[in-house]
Amino acid sequence: MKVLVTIVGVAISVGVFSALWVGVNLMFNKATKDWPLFSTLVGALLGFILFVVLHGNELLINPLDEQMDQSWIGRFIAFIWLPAIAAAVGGTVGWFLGRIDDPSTRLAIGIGTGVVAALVIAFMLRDGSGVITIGDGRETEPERSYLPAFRPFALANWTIIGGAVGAGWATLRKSNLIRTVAIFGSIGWLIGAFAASQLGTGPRIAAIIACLVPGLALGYVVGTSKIPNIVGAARIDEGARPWIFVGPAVFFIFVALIAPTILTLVLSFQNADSTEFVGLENYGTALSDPANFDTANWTNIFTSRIFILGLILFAIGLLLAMALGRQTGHTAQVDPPSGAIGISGIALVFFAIVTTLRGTIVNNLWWVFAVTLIATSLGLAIAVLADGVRFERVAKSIVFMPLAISFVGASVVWRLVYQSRDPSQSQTGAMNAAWVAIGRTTSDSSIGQIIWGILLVGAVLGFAYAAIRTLSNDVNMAVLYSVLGLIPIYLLYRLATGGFGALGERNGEFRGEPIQTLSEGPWNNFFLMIVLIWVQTGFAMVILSAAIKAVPGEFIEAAKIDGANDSDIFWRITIPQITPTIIVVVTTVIVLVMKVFDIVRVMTNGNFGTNVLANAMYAESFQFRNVGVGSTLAILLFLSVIPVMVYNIRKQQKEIA
Amino acid sequence: MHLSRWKTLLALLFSITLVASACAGSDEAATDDSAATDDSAATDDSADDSSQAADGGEMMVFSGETVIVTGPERDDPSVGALQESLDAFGEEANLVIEYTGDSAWEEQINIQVEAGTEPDISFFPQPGKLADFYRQGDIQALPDSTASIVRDNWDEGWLSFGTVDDTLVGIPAKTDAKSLVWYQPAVFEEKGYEIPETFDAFVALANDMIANGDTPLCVGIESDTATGWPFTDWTEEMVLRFEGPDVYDQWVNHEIPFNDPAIVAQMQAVIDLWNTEGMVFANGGSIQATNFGDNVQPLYDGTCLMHRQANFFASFFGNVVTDDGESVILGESDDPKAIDVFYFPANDGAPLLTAGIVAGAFHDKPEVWAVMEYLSSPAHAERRQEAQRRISGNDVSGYLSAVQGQDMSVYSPIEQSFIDILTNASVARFDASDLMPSQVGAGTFWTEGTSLVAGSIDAQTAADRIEASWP
Repeated sequence: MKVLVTIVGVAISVGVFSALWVGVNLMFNKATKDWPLFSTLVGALLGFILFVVLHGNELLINPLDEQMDQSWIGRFIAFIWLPAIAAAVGGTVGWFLGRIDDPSTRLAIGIGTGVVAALVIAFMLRDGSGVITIGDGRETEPERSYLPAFRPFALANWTIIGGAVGAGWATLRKSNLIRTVAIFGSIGWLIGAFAASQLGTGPRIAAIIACLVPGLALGYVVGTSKIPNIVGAARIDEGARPWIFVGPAVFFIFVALIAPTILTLVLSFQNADSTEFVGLENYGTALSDPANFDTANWTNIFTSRIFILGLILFAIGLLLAMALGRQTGHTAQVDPPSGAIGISGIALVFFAIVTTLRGTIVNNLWWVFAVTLIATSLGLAIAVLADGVRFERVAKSIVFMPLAISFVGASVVWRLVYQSRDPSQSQTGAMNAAWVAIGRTTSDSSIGQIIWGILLVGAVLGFAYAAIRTLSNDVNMAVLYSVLGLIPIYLLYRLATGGFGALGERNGEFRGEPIQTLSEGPWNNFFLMIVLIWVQTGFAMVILSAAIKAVPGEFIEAAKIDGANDSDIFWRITIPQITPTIIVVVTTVIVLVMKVFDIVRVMTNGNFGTNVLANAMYAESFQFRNVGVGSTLAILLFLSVIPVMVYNIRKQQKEIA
Repeated sequence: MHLSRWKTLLALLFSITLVASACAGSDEAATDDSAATDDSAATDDSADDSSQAADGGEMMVFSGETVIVTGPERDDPSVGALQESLDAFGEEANLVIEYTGDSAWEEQINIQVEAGTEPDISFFPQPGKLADFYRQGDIQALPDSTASIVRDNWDEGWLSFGTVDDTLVGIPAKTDAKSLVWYQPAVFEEKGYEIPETFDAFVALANDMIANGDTPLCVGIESDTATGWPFTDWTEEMVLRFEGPDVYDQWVNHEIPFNDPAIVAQMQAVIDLWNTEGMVFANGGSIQATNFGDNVQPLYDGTCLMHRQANFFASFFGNVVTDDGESVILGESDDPKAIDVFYFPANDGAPLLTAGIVAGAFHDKPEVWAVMEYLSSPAHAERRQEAQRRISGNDVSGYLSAVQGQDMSVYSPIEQSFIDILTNASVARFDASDLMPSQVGAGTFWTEGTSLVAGSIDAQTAADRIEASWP
């Protein structure tokens, strides 16, 4: 039943909106063909809209409210009568103005209408003495009073600002100075008289003055208008048409995007329940709260192992670049091997920083950096390596598949993978089960250790062989193999000194300590990131794969003829060719990662130091009802996404052009 | 003062955008009954005036109005039994009463209140939250007629949790005893352990167990978005036992700061107890990674021998994989794997930590008060308990009510012992975290407590941060 009601409701509103849109189009058709009719319709529409807004927001007394029964027809009539009368009056005025040429008569009609409308509104404004019926009619709440108490200074200010804007507008657009100033001055007056005053405390006479001034001014504007000749009418028609076409889009963007953004911004300057302005206090709280940004342990950065390792790697990369540069005559030649080693060094230093400085904002930075870097590089690697291989499609489909899973679904799956059990129990999570099995075989049994030893020595020899083979024609690959070969060498060292994997014993028996994947900080963050990397790699791979396939074959052939090896082709042809695509992938992933919410919410709910901005924002706004701080976090998130978004859109526009 | 003008300006701006929807969308509003706020709700119940004729003490019969009830309980036995009991009353009073259990109730109710789409009645596990809503003018005070019926049904002590600023606004819909320790009597007998009579004896017993190679306690504080609450319970038990009810009340009412040395000391005491080598078994590998409900299995298996948890812990025993495939026997029994409870002892007196669910009404309508009166009645407790025991298939249904005048035969012996503990406690105090503002009680007390248990901060830091978050 509810579904049906919703469908019917949507159908009706879509119908009404389209009819309205077509109707407005038809109305402007009349501007050139039948001016009096057009004038009548505009008058009716303006009157209708004005009173729908006033009446719909319950600004005006509604004597029919209690007379009508509570059926929807009764309530509809109680609502529509005033806008309907206004439409009729507006239509009549429009009809007269569409026909009568005499300037003094027009002025009288205009000012008369303005004064009457102003007086009607002023006398019908609610003064707080009645009640508003809500819900199904058995509940009431006291009405608000809308009678303004002027603040003369603010009123004058706003009116002057409005008038000045009008004067500027008139100069720029070369329109009639007095009329434009009257229009904008009226808007300024209305803001000053209602928004900038103390509403609900003034006398009725204030409301009358507040309404009468703009009534007179706007009446004067209407009264001094002339019936346009055919050229003028055509100009009105043509000027209005584009606005009608973009109107619906602008309307929906305003309602769904711009208005909430403005509201959030305003809320971020207010206190927890949005009753008072507190200035920048929320921003101070958000940025100084140790839960968001904790620098307490910053000195530990310099003593952390990965920081030192990162520095060493960076130094090696730099030295390598300088050595290569000597050959080519540059200060430093950043080649793939030196570049990759240097970047890994920088990445490790960054990891050292984000694992030491803790907090929600730091976590977000870490997410953005790690997920974007790893997902894009992995996607690129898979796209390149799978290119032209026999089972390319199958392989790519498998990598792509996680993208079809929702974040929540992926989180639930990975929660099972990460599950840990007490060391005395057998591990039920796949990761810890494997980790414990590795620990058991590397530390506990001599047969296991021998097999591991053979495997690792084999791996070292394999890498060494590959490095030597590629050394002659592809130095880059040789360096890569050598670096990879360090991993089994390190593992062999660990094997000789007690094993690796889950270790631990109790009463002389092996009891592998599982990794507390989700609750042991700060690396639990990285285990959460793996979920998003798992999902996003497929996305990066698909886009980059398409770009790689679009690299012209002639370039590659030409390079091969010149004696380029595979890594030369990859680093010097493929990468430069697909750089724009890589940038699109990176920016898209950055924006997505910035907003990460579901994974953290489902897997840890921000506990154990894994909170991110989006989750903190949700918790503050909806759990703790601190709308001020919640909105502040939303704005911070919004601000940090904007530069990337702008860059992304610019880039795409350039590509289209 | 700045507020009003900006709000009005925004309202003006926004109303311009609403022009189209207002003149085009009145039909839409009238058909969309989910947004039943202002002018649209009249569609579903047009004939509601008739009910107002019926008044007085007799049962009112309505004409099919709908009463929407929401709450955080969403497990099958609870929802099924509650709906069954509500249906029974709905049939008598000719009302349609719909209960919706929501796992995100905590957030949903805030959003609904803000949006003006709040239910008629909601169940609050946190009286502090009910009080917040009442002070904001969202929750309606009970009318005198309803209040007097509720006062007849409940002991004054229980009504204090639904009383805000001397006005009765909520009624207890479910009551829980938290100071319980679950154990296997047969194992205790076999190994010669005695049920401790004082807290010191409890600690001594635990140390004996460690010396014998047994693990005394199972602890888990993971609970999805509410992770950390079992730690707050332990802290509250310790404050109640070692600092006394007066300090407890001052703590709850923020008359002493959260980082008062007394409170920090008790938080530290909990951590010290848990961190004692060999004291705690955590099924998930660490206390903070273990769901509190997962501990039923190790308790059944004898991996740990004791587990301090409220009476509603019983509902988790349905998940146990038993040796014989039958369900776990709860309460006094000859069964060697049966599980029973003892009172979590104190050195002085018998203080009891309690919890419960309080129902509050958002709308002032006769049918809502009729349902509220029913929820406070022994008839509701009996019906719900009967249904919940049947649906859960357990000796302990997970539901418990301390309402007066109910037929005790609907409860199993072990549940009757819970009710005895509830009604006989020398000092009873409601769960402190549920009484504190939600930023603390459902926020930092949980999260900072979790960090404390995980060992990433110390007790003083945790308490300082919680104090800083107190609104």
